[in-house]
Amino acid sequence: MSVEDVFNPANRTETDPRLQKEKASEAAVDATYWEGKAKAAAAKREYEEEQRRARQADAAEGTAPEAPFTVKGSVNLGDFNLQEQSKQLQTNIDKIQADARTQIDALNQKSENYRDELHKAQITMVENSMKAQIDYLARMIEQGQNHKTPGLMDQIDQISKIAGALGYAKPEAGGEMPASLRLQILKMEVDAKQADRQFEWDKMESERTWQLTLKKMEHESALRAAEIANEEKKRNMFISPFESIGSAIARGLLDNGGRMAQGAPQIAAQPAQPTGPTAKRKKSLHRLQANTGDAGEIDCPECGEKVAIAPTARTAVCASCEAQFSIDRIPLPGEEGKQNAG
Amino acid sequence: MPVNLQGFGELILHGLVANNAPNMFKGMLNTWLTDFMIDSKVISDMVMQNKSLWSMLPENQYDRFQKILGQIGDIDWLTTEWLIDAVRKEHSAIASLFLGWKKGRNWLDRQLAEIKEEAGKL
Repeated sequence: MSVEDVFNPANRTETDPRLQKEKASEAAVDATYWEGKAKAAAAKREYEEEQRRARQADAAEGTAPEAPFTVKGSVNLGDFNLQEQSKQLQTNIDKIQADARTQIDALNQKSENYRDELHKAQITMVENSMKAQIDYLARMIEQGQNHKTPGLMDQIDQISKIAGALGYAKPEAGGEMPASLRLQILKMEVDAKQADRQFEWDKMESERTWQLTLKKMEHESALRAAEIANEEKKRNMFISPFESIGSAIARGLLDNGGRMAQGAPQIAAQPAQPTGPTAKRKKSLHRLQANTGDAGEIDCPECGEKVAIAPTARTAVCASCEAQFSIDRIPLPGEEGKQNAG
Repeated sequence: MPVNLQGFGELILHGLVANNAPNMFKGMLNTWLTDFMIDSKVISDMVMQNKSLWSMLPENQYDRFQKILGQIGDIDWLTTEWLIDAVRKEHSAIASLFLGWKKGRNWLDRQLAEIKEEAGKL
């Protein structure tokens, strides 16, 4: 009887669920692998079969039946030589340029000719003019030597000759009126026109002078009025003491009860009402309110007389009833913070 | 018998002016304040700007002022209290301004002192 290894039994049952799970998954992986292989082999077979069929179909298409008719022929569009064309074009351009240059030269030549002709004409004209002037001067000298004053007709003749020499046509003698008379009439017309113009000018000048004078007078009048007003103002302000002395005396005497003063020192010694800052006044129960820096006048709450409020005053005193009022100053919005800070 | 009265008018006027100078000046002052519409606002502006009253008199009026002073003579009676009393009736607001405002009163003191000083120099 063989001894059985009790520590390593022949039949063992795995009870560890983790190991069982691993073994099962290994078996499943093996099965999946071989299934994949089988599928790949089948697909390969199918692919090769399809390839073979496609090759057969291609071979069958190569041996297609011939078309019922065929068109044959060709069209020759000619030879295109671009260099030759360019050369031809250049030749044409050169030819056109040469023609244009020739024409310009011809025109320049013509222009030169015209200029020469113009110069010649001008020179001829100047020569003629000079000649005519010389002739005129020579004649004048001759006349001067003979101490003979030329008549009007002689002068007209001379002028006509000079004009003729200068190339001006002699005017046609029209009408039955003699030339000297016509000249006289024209001269009179010119004189009349000149006189009219002078009259118009004088009229304008006179109008302008009058306007200027008027403006000057107005200005002077305004200045004078301003001066008078100024003087009057000054007089009222500073010169009036002696002028208004009568009324002043009257008013002063009336205030004094109609009595003449017995001398200045006595007047000065008259007991005046206590007006100083220390003078005793009745304090009013009324309080006044004003913004900081405000000044103005109000009616006295006690007697109704005018009371002034100064810009920085804290009290106001009525000059009539001597009542003293405290003034509550209301700080301005900007100053409120400053006062609180202070 | 003819009497020579030449100079009597001037003498009488001189005496009249000299004896009634404060009363006359009071009348003139009130007239000026009314004519030139000077109220407490104008005065308070002058105080705030510390304007000199003497400087407002043109130099070409100094002679005239001197003549007036010659007629009046002594001006010691011209004090702040007198001035406030002088305008108290007709311009109570102006009088009230100087009564209740120390700054205004001080300014008036200064102005009168300056006028007296400058008048003494003429």
